[in-house]
Amino acid sequence: MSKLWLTLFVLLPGSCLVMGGVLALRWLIRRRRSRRQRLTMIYLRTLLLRCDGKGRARFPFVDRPGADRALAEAIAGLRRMTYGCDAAVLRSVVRSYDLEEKLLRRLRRPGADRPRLLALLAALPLSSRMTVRLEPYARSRSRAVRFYALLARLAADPGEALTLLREYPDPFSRFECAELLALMCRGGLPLACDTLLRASEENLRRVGLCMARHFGIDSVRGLVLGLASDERVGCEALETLCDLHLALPDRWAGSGPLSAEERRSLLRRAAYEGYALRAVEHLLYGEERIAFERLAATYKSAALWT
Amino acid sequence: MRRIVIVSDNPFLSRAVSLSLAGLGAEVCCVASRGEWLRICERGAVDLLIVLRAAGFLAREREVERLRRAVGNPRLYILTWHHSERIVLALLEQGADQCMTFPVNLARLRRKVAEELTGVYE
Amino acid sequence: MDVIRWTVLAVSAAVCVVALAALWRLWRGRREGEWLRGRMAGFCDAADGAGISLLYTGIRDAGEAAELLAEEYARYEVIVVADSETQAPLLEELKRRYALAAVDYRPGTELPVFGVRGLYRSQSRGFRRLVLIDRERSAPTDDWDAAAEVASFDWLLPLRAGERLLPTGLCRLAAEVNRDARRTVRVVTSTVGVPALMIAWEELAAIGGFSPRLLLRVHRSHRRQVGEAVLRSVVPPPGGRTRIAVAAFAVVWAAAGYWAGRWVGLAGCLCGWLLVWVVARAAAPYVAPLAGPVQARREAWRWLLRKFTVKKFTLS
Repeated sequence: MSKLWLTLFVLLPGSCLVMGGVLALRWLIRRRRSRRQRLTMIYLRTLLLRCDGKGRARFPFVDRPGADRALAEAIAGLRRMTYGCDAAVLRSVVRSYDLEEKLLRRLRRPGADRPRLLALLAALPLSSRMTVRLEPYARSRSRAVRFYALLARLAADPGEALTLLREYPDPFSRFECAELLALMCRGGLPLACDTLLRASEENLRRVGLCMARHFGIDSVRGLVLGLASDERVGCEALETLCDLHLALPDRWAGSGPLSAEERRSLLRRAAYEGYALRAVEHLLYGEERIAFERLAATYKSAALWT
Repeated sequence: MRRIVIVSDNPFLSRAVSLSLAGLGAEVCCVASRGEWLRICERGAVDLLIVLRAAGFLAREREVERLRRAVGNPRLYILTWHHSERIVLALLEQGADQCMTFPVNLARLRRKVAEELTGVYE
Repeated sequence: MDVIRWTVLAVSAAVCVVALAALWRLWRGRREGEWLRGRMAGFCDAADGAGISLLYTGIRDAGEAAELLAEEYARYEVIVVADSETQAPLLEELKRRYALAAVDYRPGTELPVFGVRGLYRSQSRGFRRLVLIDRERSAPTDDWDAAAEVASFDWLLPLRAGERLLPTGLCRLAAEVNRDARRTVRVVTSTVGVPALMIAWEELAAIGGFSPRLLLRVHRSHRRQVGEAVLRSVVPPPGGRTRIAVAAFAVVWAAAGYWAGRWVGLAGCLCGWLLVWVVARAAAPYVAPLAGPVQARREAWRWLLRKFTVKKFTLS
């Protein structure tokens, strides 16, 4: 009897509950996502109308749950893919619909996806007081939260960019540098390349090198050459010179040799960018020169005159 | 009526571009795949094709020629996230009429499209 | 005897938990992937981006090269290996389509390479990403070694015949590498759907080239796993074999349940079986996003069965 009770009242209902839960969760997630996407598209249209100065178009359904997020995503998406939209219009939308406060409230909820929300905040035109309000997240144990909090604080107060970047405790990865570049392309990081390259901090130099590569700033060759023998960013400086097709250093200055792995990565990059052996041979040792020659030769064909 | 087709698998991007081209006196259709836009083109001539990715043109030779033969010789604009000179030159060499990079100025895009459509009918 | 019975019931419960946990990780991996791809889209062109060389073996048609070249990610190349003795028309077609010209080739010493007859690069600016190696046919691992030797980028992604990238799969793999600030990652894998493995050039040279048990020679701390599918197969998995494996799994499980607890145990195992079936259906669109519903479910079952049988990822 107890086995029958176990089967009928525990096993079967329990299994049905779990299965139903899995399917219901999947349905709920899809429904919520498609609703938010539809709302985002509606808000995109209204935003473009407002940016064109076509009257005071209203945002419908703003009281619905998730509408604040959909509006924020519409603004963020528009800023990411375009430039020249009236920033004052977007700022007034953020202010009048209290998006900063609503997103901060979402951030404080337990289980919130903080990196994603902070990245969303970073793409909005924020007020400068957000720098202070986001400061607790800059001390988070999660690296992703720390970085996107930095990004959001930079977006809120670009004037403090150098200070905020100097205070950041971790070395930037390539992904993070690219995020900073994207912010720069939106006008959210008003820093000059040579200011960054002249700084003593590794992170600032990294961002400077990234900026030189992305925008093709070959006027900073002298500064980049000076970084070539730096222990921490030396390899990246040489990669920057390769990507800009500038002359590589003709001798090593100081004590900044590359590791074997970095040298081989550099030789592949230099071969790809069309450097001759003479330009790189002093940076390579022994068999690496032969490997470079062999790889560089694969970009050439033998011309036969008959 | 003039027809503009926007090809992109990103609904946000294609919607933003199509909204920015509203009111030019042209029918604007958004499609997500090559198959869909070939079907759209069967319904009538296309005046302007705006493709929001570059990769398809860097995968096959004479892709632009093939497109034009299939669809009645539309003008071709490519909007892409690629910034490198080599890729942009390659796209122009392939036969694209305009190559613009994201982030794009929607007002400028609208002006260019308006000039293009006016030029078609002169 | 009781211990064995309880063990069987415990294993049944563990199977259910593993299936649910796998679905949860799959959903999280997919979510993370979508977000990363959205961020990467804005800078797919960044010179900082990890450069990836796709090493493709077993090409049968020139259209396959076109599919591999149709990726939006900027810093990658496709190195195709073919045999001019058995595939002469295919090579001529590729050379014509992509303006490939023969270039100087000299064998190196870092990897075990043999049988290469020639190397071709495109003279056209737009097709500079395509490289063709003419090599005598042998094992895929030998083809990959030959391709790796002429690779221009630091990361290598070997592909077998019929394997393709999912849209933005390359972006996803590159994002995983680019996020590594300390540059300790040497191998990035995905065991969802069609298994994928991307390895750093230096790591490959250190372990002496591609081999079936390559992953076992890379220290765990240097490996990173991507929780979503990055590859798809244009050759559908054998339906018959999958069905037999699934049926055998169900029968063995039901029999073990009946033996452990008579009809209560059987009922419990059947409920567990239903749960695993629901998980497979829910996982199907994540495991094989572009496949039709039937193939997606088959791929989802194969993915689940791999979880239960703890199959090591191998290259062959």
